[in-house]
Parts: sequence; C-alpha cells; structure tokens
Amino acid sequence: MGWEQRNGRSYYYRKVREGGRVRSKYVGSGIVAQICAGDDNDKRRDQAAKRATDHAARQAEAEIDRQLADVESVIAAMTHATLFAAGYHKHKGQWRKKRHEK
Amino acid sequence: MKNKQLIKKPADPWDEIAELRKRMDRAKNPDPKDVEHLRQLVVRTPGFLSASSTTQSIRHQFIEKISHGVSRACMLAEVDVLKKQLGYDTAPPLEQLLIDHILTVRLRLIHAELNYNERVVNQSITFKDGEYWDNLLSSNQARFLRAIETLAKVRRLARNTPALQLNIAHKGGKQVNVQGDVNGQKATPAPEPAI
Repeated sequence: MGWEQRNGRSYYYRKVREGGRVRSKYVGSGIVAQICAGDDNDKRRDQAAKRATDHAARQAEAEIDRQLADVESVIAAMTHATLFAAGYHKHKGQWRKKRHEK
Repeated sequence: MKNKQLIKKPADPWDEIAELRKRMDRAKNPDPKDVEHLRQLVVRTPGFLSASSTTQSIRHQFIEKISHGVSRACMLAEVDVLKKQLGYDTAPPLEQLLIDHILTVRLRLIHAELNYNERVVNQSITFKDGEYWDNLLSSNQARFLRAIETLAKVRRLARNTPALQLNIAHKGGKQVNVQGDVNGQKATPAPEPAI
C-alpha cells in the first residue's frame, strides 16, 4: 500500500491525514524503507488487535448490561404488582395508599 | 437379605433435576411428562429455586467472569457483608429479591469503576472511547441508585401498611401500639401517640 513504483523503482510513502485530506509523505527506498514499512505494519497489526479487544470488551459489557436491564424490568414489574396488591396506587410518580383502604 | 432388597434408597432430587435438565436441554421439544416431572421436583426442592434464581445466577456468573483468587474472595466477602447489612435473612421475599438485585448491581458498578480507571484514567484514549466508558459508568451508577431507592420505597411503604395493629393499655399506664407488616416483617412498636 505504501510502496509506489516510479521509473521502475520502489519507493515507500506514508499516508497521513491532514485536515480531511490524505497526503503522501516520502519515507525512502531500499533497506531503510523496508524497515520503516515493517515497523508500520507492526503498528497497524497492534492497532487492529487493540480494536478487536476493545470491541470484544464492549460486546461483553453490553451483554451484562442487557441481562441486568432484563432483570431490572422483571423486578420493577414484581414490585409494582406487590404494591398494587397491597392497595397502593401511583399518583404523579408517587406511591400512595387508597383512602378507602386505610 | 429380603429386607435389604425391599429397602430402596430414595433418589436424590438434585441428581434427578440435573439429569432431567440435561435431557431437556438436549431435546428440541422436551417431553411434556419431563416438564411436569421437573416442575414437581422443583416444588419439592425449594433450595433449587433460590440457587437458580436469575439475579443470583447472574451474580455468580459475573463474579466468575471478572475476578480471580484474592479479588474473588474480596468480592464474595463484600457481597456477604452488604447482604448482612441490608438484613437479607430476615427480609420478606420481595425485599430479598431487591437486595439480591442491589448486590448484583453493586458488583457491576465496582467492575465499571475499575474499567473506567484502567481505560480512561491510566491510559490515553480517544474522546469517543472516553465518552463510551463514562456513559457506562454513569448508567451503572444510576442503576445502583434506582435499586437502592426501590428497596427504600418498598420498606417505607411496608412500614406504613400494618396488617395487624394491637392497642395494649395497662390500667393507668400509657397505651402502646404494636403493628405487624404486610410483607411479614418483624413486628415493630409504633411511635408513642400524642397525648
């Protein structure tokens, strides 16, 4: 990707994003360019691995939160049912006892 | 010899439940007889329901997932202490459920805080990542608060709903009101009435 052929020779360029545009920055040719290209490849591989780890971590977190949200909704339903059964009703977000139940 | 043959050792219900569960998990459409048998076994084995209750099983899975060795022991100890402080053993069933939920959510919050510290405070991350972990922590803090508020609300309302009220008055003495609770909590003496 960073290697470009010019006049039959290979030159290594780094692609850099600057202000929404991609610029090619000349790195070199020959053994130095190969070392730089290898280094860039390693960095890219590390970044991809980190992205994959982060993605897996986020998936796991989302799964835990989903389970907790399910349990929370069940518990809320049970609490409401119990309070209704005990003669309470909700008035403007507040649980109140019905007058005739007193 | 004959007697020995006649005495049959009763099957362990836990083993039977495990065997039935395995069989039902394997089958696509479990046999209705198996379902009915499992239902009866679970009714006869009350410990099974508490062991497999959703909040508890999620908590145990969660502890296994996020902790090892010393940290697991610390987490379990924290759960035990919090459980005792919230009066789990003497609480009525609904409150036990709410306490269970609080314990699970508390562990989740600890985990979210550790994650936040590890990823946001100790590392340089992008703004987007930081926002994600920050939101996760905030939502868990809100969930923890909600869980505690629900328990407090239920306890407050249960206290105000006496199922049984006794007025005891000695001759020439003060009147004492003793009230019971809808949820089966221990009876508590009501505050002294104004004279």
